[in-house]
Amino acid sequence: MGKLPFRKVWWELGTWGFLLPHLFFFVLFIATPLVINLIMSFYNWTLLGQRVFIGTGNFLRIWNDDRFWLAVKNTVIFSIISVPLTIIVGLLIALILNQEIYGKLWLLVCFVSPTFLGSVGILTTWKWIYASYPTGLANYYFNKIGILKEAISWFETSTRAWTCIILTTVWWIVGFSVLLYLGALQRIPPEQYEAAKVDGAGPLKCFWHITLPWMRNVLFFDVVRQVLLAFGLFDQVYFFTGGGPAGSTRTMVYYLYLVGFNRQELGQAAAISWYMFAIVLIFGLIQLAMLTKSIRSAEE
Amino acid sequence: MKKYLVLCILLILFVNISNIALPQAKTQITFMTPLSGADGAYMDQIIQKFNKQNPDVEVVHLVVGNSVEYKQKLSTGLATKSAPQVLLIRKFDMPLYLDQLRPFTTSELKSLGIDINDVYPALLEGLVKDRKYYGIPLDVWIFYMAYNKANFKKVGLNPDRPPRTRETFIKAMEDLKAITPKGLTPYYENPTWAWIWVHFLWQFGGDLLTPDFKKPAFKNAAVETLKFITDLQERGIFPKAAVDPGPPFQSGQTSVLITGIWTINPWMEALGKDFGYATVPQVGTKNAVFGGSHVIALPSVMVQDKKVFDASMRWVKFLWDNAIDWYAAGQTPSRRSIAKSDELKKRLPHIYAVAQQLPYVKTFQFFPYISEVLDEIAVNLEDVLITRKLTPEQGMEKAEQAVQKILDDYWATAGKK
Amino acid sequence: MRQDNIFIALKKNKKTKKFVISIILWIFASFWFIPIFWMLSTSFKSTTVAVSENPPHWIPKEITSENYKLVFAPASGINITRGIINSLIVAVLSTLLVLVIATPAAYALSRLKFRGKNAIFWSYVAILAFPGVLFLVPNYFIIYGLGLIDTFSALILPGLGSTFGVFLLRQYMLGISRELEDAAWIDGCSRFRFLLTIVIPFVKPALLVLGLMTFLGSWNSFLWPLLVLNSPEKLTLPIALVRFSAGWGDPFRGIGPLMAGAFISVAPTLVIFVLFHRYLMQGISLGSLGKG
Repeated sequence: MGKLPFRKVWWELGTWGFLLPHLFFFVLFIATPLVINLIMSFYNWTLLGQRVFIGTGNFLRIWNDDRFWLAVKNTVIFSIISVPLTIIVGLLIALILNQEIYGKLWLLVCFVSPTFLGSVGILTTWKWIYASYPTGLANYYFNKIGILKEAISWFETSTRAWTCIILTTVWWIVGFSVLLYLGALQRIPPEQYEAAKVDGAGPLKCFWHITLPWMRNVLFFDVVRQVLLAFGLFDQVYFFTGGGPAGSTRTMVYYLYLVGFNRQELGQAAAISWYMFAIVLIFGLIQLAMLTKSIRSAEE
Repeated sequence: MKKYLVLCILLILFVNISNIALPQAKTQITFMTPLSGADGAYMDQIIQKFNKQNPDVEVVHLVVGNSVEYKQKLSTGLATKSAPQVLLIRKFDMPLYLDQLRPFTTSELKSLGIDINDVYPALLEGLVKDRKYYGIPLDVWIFYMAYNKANFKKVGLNPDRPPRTRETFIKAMEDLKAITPKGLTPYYENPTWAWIWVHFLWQFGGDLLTPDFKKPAFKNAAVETLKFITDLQERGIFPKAAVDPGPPFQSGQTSVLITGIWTINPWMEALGKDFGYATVPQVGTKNAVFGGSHVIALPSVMVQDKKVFDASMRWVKFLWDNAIDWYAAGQTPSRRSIAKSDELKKRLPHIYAVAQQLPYVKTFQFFPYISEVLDEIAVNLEDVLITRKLTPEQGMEKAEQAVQKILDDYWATAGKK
Repeated sequence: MRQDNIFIALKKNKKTKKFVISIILWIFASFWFIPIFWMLSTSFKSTTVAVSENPPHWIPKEITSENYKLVFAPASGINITRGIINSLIVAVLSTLLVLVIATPAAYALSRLKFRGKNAIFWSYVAILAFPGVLFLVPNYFIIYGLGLIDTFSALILPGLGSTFGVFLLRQYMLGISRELEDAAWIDGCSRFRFLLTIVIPFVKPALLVLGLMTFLGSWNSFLWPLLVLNSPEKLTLPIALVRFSAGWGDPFRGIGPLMAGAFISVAPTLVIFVLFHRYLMQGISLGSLGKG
């Protein structure tokens, strides 16, 4: 009689043993800073100055800050465009790599490895490609083909700047999604497809009713990851445009960086991060809901 | 389970072993500068010379080119007493840190061999409090006029007498139009580069903020400035779109740049004997030229130890005495004695020529958010000069409102100390 | 006889079709990879040539190693070779530790039952919404409080709390069939053994991907090491390379050494990727355990 609850406790402790090392570091280096941030957001604090409690002052200031909402708008638009784009391109590449072809190593290296290469190297190279010189790679070839008449500055207008950013971003991050999708694709038992072919289903129908539902878990993960990545867009802005032209490529994180590090206003930066969290939550949930709906309908 | 835990512990131990620091025989001074690229290489040479001559001190050159990261490193370092011992900091990054820097009296500096009164007064603005100096300006990055001598000759202008006034400048540019290819302009610079606007603003007698930093003060002069610039654009002398000025100037298609002294070496290399340099033309109502400074400063908390302080000041003095080696990188002196010296004239004639503007150089006001202020104004500059959505009056009105917001922000938060 | 001929003909057709498609894909892939080629190519040209040559040459007319020499030349206490070694040590240790710590945690969150499981899982996911820059300053003070400023621990330990890896692994682990688990149960297999012998091989591709990402994250991290490290002999590669980045004025004035530095920082990850690609492919095709 006494043994049973004891065993249960031991059992539960064992489970926690799996979790504990990670949880320890999580609490120390992630949860604690977050709590510190929460507290800081109610203060006026610049690292070296006095700490002054101002309640919701920071939150109000940011609510009224046009530049913050501009950054939010930029980030949201960017994410709406880039996330579906990356997923589609990723699926295409994964489907290609899933076929029977020779020399997959080369394809893998070309399409997937950029995602494992660091931002500094990649982005400085892309910036060099987008150079406004006539001898910059992009300008040179566009001129040669005749699409452009003369060398242009690729980051001059906000549409052009965003196109460059989106292009480079998709090129850079699609690799990770491809690996995830590939793994999931290769786990779909071929009998499913054969059964469908017997029923007379074409490739599109196969894709919609078989492939997608089987990739459910992986797609869930990837959408969450991509939305978070899109809302965290920073490196490209930092290397390519510095927020210009005229603040039109400033994203939420970049704005956070400016307020927190340039102005050294850590309380305000903390408040911005809480706004960001709320915004990301809303958008993440929306995109997840849309995905679940479409997969559920495909499963029927 | 046990094996797993043991593995974890072993790994963490291993990590800690790699933390062991070796004991130092020399006094190590970390010298943090924002000098990346070729500039950094010049400074490296001076540092290596010092290290050789002073075997008991080692100066380590930490380069952080980006102002924002520089400030972050400095802030966190100051908060935990692990900052660099000697800083070379851009003057406009300094306001936030003034109280953290070690002040010097004139006599203290003199005893260390540094005559602070030799420095141009305009550069010391903001660095002096209660007759104590919080920083020692090392150099001035000043604007100068770069021009293509061959092009000048082609249209009959005297290549050794470039224009110095508004009228002669405009006339020269009009003449140069004849040989400038279509789509380019003789004076080819990016209109959205805010420093150009500031440079002209100062020549028209304006300034960004009121002396107490509570209000913007640029509207009237800014309108004059913008009218001047749009006039140049209308005449076809100055571009109407955001452009990259480098390649056309290098290939000789465009003829004039008013830009920073740090470009003087590359241009000299690129254009060779066709390269002309001069003081900027004075197009406005007041004699002024845009400039900024790298200032030597020491964080108080880091130099409290006497040994460290002495070593740091030895390095500072060395830098001060060998400054001309540094100016060769493409900077003008901060000191009158050097700017007018024969040594400078002989060794770096191009720097010497441009240095003659130093008596009337102007720098940014000593306000912590000044770069942010400028960024906000730049947004409206684009609307006036490029997209033409606003007139100069409207644009500057909007700019003033945006700037006022930033100022209010500052006084409501950081200003409350 | 005729039928055999047709069969052989069909087979040959299929093979050529495969070959042709492969070639087309190779060419397309090579175009996709252009930026890396360009990076390599530019790093072997001198800057003046790289900036002005018209038309641009893919294979430099004059191959010069001056950029690499410049990058590796020790300068005033900052040493690229030392930076590479430091970065390597930190990245390898980080990767190993993250894998060792995240895998059991992911297993717990996917298959094991315990109180508070959902709360922990969803907070792990929610944390991902906060950008990394936010954690810099608070973590700096935590590290300072622990007395770990200017140590490699400061670079390695904070990353161990990252929830991305746990999330990734957990999603993968959800694919393990319940029947398999129950069968192992009945056989008296302990949870730990189950983890070791069944789960880990199952999620090998995810482990590899996570390992690569952790390595990459550590290898390229700039701002955090910049804040936390002070001794010049501990500086990591990105900090040592920053001196070559754009100065003012013409941002491409130093493109030669810049591309050389970029390639140096990119090369190790490329090498690791190529080395491990087979495992990636192998792991990915280990698909028999799973749904159904």
